[in-house]
Amino acid sequence: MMYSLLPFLNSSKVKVLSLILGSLYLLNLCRCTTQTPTPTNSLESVPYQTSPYSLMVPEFFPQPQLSEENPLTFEGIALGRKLYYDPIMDGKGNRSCSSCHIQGQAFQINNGSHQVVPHINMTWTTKFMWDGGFEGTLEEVMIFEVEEFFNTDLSKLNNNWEYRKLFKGAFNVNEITSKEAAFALAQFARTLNSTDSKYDQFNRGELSLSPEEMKGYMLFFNEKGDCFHCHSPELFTDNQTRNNGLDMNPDSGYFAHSKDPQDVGKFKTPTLRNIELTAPYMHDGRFTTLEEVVEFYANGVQNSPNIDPLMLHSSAGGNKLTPEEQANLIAFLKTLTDSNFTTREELSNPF
Amino acid sequence: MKKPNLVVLILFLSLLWGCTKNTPPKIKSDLTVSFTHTVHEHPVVLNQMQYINANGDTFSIKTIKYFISKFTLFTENGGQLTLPHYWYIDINDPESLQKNLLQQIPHGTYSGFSFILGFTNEDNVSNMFTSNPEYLMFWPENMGGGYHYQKLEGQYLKNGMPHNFNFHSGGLDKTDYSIQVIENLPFTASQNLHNLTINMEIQNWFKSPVTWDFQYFGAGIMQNHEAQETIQQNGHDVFSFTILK
Ligand code: HEC
Ligand code: HEC
Ligand SMILES: [Cu+2]
Repeated sequence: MMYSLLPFLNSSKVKVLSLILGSLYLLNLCRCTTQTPTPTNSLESVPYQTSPYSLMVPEFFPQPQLSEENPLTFEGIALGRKLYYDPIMDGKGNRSCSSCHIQGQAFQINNGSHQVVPHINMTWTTKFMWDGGFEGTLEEVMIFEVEEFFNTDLSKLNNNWEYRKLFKGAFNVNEITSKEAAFALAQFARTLNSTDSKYDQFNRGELSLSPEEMKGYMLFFNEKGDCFHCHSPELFTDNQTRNNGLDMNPDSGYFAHSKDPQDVGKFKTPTLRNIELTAPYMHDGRFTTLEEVVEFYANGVQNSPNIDPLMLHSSAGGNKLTPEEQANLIAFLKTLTDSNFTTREELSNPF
Repeated sequence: MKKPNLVVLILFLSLLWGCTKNTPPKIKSDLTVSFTHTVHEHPVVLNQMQYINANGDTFSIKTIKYFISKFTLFTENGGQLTLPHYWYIDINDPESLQKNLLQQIPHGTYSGFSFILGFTNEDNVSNMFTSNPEYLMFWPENMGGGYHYQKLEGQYLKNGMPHNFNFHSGGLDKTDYSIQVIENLPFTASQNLHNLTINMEIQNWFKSPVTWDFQYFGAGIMQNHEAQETIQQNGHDVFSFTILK
């Protein structure tokens, strides 16, 4: 096109100029082709080669929920980690998962506008979200996150040569779909496991708890304190939806999904691992400190119609722990903080 | 629902037919064990404040979960055959209400059977279960460890107000409160499929020899030896049995 114009421009200066322009144009073409090569041809040279990753299940923990369809590999986990920290995933804005799920804050955020569910031990989770309304596998919840919550623009991923290669290597696909993106995120999520708190070390006989922590331990695991049936070890959640008596007329909770009136006010028992780091508390963030939470369980329990029978002291308004007992219970709750989890290199931002 | 089942049944029967033609007859028979739960002989309706116990308290039932272990058959010559199984039963989980023991009972005549509600002390070992729902039946270490034998939960009325009860039993402080149930119900195991129905009558937990008083025992009884002993005593007649051939 450019050359067809040349006969009309007779001056030699113009000729030289057009030659320069022309070669620049060609050069530019070359640059373009090296940047976006005909994708499938070049991807074919990227080997699909994965090395299996075996998840370490610590003593006393239950069997994790693994996926036959999405076996853990070093490549898949590394790719998931990149995606988790990359705003490229956001189809509407410029957020990454890690904007709201921050490692140092146990993969939630303390001052967000929403109460974020922390990403802790999700490999054992079968009911997701505060109200437990998303029931399924980690793969399924990640497909929801990619497709609906983040509205990920897959063409952005597919136009990124680096990601094309990584997805080819980890999942053997030439074209990235939301399925592979979700599977990679699920693989990384399966490694977000908090299993090495002071409590765990105590459990394994590696150290002892302080007298206050030990008194709190006893209260937690007996019927006087009454915490263990729902926040049951070792995950400190039973993965069930329950009504712990926050309100006489509670928020709908799991009822929104089941439409069973018995489910009004039921929320998923949250894990208490790293609870020290995840204020504010409850699905609506109504309590800002653990002191407030423990005071609620002592004196503020509402004997609401669907209250769980496991709230043993509900008709008395709570477990009536004294201020000293409450302090001991909090001391125990703080032994569930796992700094290995919140600082571990493999879980951190790879960029 | 009905149709596929029928197809499966026909396929299954034809498979059996094929087998019996070519192979020698089985020497062990199949047994299915069904668990049912009643209040005053009617199937339990959950979450309804409609039952009245021996003490005159109105109550509802929300949860019934328990373990059965050491199922043992008594042979005619005085021998015993203990099956290497435990069973976990949850009224809310229909699949858990039927157990299939395929080809495990040698042909012959039996004079009866026995089982344990929960686990005897030697079998009640902490951390033996590694997956839910059994895992969640744990009994805290500081109360003796092992597993709950049973969790029966609900509410009762006092002065018109609902109160929770948690009729949880287990090996408190390593005391063996498991319940041995012995039934002298003779039966013959032959080629046919046999069905044993084990029914739990909830009212009988609260009746004899001790009349259970929800208010006296309170909402939580796991650390109460008197309560655990009472449950063990009252357990003598909660189960009844039907054998179908
Ligand atoms: C704007 C903040 C925000 C961002 C960004 C965000 N999340 Fe979340 N996430 C939340 C909130 C809030 C919840 C709890 C929602 C609820 O319970 O209804 C949540 C819950 C979850 C859960 C459920 C966890 C559980 O155990 O129940 C998963 C899984 C999850 N997010 C994955 C992701 C992934 C993957 C990304 C990135 C693709 C992401 N999130 C980005 C705010 C965020
Ligand atoms: C009947 C089951 C049950 C019992 C017993 C119970 N909890 Fe909870 N707990 C829950 C549920 C369900 C929630 C979430 C409620 C919500 O958000 O609406 C919760 C929330 C919490 C939270 C806030 C978690 C977060 O991430 O915001 C803490 C802390 C907590 N419980 C501690 C305790 C302690 C300490 C005890 C014993 C004194 C106890 N719980 C007893 C079911 C229970
Ligand atoms: Cu209990």
